[in-house]
Amino acid sequence: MIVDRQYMGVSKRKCIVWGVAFLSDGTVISVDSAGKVQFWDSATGTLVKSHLIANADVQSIAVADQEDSFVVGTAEGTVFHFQLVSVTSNSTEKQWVRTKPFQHHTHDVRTVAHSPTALISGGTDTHLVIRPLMERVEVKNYDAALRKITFPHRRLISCSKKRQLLLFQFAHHLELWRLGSTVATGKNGDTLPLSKNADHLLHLKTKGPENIICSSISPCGSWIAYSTASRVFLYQLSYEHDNISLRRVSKMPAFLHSALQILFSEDSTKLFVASNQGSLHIIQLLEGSFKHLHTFPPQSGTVEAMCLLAVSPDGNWLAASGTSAGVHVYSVKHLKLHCTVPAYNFPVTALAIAPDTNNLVIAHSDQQVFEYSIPDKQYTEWSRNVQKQGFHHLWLQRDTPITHISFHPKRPMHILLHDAYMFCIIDKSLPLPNDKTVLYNPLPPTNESDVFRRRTAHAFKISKKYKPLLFMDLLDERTLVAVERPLDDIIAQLPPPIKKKKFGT
Amino acid sequence: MVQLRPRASRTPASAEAMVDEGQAASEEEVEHGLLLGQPSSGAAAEPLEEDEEGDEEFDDEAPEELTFASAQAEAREEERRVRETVRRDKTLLKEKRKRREELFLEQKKRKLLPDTILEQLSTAAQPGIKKSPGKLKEVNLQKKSEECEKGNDSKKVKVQKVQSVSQKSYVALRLKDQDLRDSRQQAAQAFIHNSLYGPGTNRTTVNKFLSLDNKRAPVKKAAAQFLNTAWGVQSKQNAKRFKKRWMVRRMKTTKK
Repeated sequence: MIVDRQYMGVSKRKCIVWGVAFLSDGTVISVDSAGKVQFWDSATGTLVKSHLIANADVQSIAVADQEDSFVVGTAEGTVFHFQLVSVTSNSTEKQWVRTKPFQHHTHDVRTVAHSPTALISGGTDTHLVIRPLMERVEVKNYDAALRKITFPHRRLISCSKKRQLLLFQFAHHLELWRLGSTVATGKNGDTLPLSKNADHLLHLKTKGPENIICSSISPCGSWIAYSTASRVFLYQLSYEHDNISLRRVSKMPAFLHSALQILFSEDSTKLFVASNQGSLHIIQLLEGSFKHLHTFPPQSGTVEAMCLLAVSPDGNWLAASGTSAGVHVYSVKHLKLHCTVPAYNFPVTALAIAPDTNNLVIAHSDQQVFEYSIPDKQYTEWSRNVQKQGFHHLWLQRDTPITHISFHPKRPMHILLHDAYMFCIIDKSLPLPNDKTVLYNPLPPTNESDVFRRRTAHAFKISKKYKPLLFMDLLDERTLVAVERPLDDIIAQLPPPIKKKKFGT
Repeated sequence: MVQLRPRASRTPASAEAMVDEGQAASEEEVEHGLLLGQPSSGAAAEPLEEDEEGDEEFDDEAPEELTFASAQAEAREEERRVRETVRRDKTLLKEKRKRREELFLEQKKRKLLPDTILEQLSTAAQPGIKKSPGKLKEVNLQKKSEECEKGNDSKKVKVQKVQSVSQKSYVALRLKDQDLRDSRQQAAQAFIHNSLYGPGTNRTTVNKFLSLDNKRAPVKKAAAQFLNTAWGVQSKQNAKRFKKRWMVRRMKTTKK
């Protein structure tokens, strides 16, 4: 089978086949750089049918399990759906037909996947698009909506509160920044001038081609740990006035191959590592070295690895969650399993333990938030109330999961959480909103009377000022740090897209 | 400087002083100082002289009686002591070297694989491609769990990857192959990049792409990137090449 070398009339460039699929009936489908999707008969080696679908490369192909439909992605950002349909309404003869084009990407679609109910495409424009196939979806609920995922649903930034440092995790390097400060004061809504600019302290590059999986900086700012797919690295930082020196702690224990999540305790004396084999390691940090304290083996009967960790501020409790099998709470003091929060259908996206009360707040991917009292081993009264009444429908329809939860040290009734598009303070002392109340009311109108304000006030205070919001945390009682990553900056650094003629430009 | 100069000329003088029993020594001393034309140098040299020989006295004190035999004995004693210290130093140095040598040997032994693995390596290498013993040193020890979980069947063992029996956490790799693989990987990456973004592909620039939206936007913004480094790449390269050639030509002509 030889692909036509002609490249849209110009024979200068060679035609490259970017992908092939072999179906069980002997049909071979090829996609190539000339923008063609071609069907071949493998028995005779002849071209059966050719579809010219793009002026640019067709880069990826994925076939459904039933082999009755497939999806291709082009360099123009278009995704085409091909289906095997009958030629006439009641004949058995079937034919491959191009059915639906989707244009959700602006750059090349480098990979596609075909799930039983959706087409998934990933492009160089950093988006992952999940497009449900409406004819395969049984219940037309909010889950059957188009999803566009831009940022990983993970915490990529960690913060050292004591030294006001932020550690940013990139695919192949880490960056450490010291936050700037201001001495000016202003009223609500003002942007104050910086008296001290933010400092770029450190740029740590990884060796080799492996990506960084997770990273963390200790609350005291003197330790940095990160993990790639095969190794865990630990560094000690020392600060002398403006100078910073970095020292690698060598000889990490041999059993630590790769970690899915790394966390330091609040006093920076312990390091918690969730390994990819399902066990949890506790490592004590000493000056310039470490000591392996304990390993919690994976729960019997489960194979999944823990991917989220939370430690209580007093250092007594460690909560760990995998993707499905509930949240396990360990006692760090007694080095044993304390309790397991009952499993829920949806994976956990964020975990945190409140100071003083040791309430574990759990956010799930279906936007439910639970509060579980670790000492009492049961859900708290507030959590039960929330479940009884249910969340506001707009809250449940948000697109991105909650990725970080934190608490105010002086206001025990507040829970601070955020996703990529909003930041929310839940005030547990206020009544919950029902579906008739307005959910997004960050500032109540000032011209209304107090009675009205009190009536409309509810537990959810939501701000959508910063988006896409990657990280938000309290530095101290009066300071909040937010990290916004504008998409324009990312797009400006992307590889160039295919040139398209636009009318009127 | 001042102290060194009299000392160099003193050695024969001091020997003379021993023979002349002191009296002449002081005269010599004065004479010497005058001879050098440095009256202060004599005074400065004297305490130093005292240190060296110990039997020289100041002018105002009477010189001590000293027989030739005792002086000779003392000198011999001195000589012996010096020789002994030299010998002791030598032996100490030797011992130190020996210890270091031993340490190196031990380290080397530690770095090398255990004997069983070495034996296995040699047996595995013999039937296949002849592998020089020098290459054993090249083996790179890498801890890889997934590899060590595989079986240790020596028949299955390739020449490049010899797995140990006793210590499962080691995998021996030849660095040469690794480099080859890396270069192939790089070549493949370059090919993909060239065929997607290389010359002849219908690509626009990021700036142009972003300006499409900006043109239609009600509020116009500045371009995302003001400076375009891609401009004039070819002419810049040509200029560079021309400059190099010109330099070479210049050098050739000047040589002639």
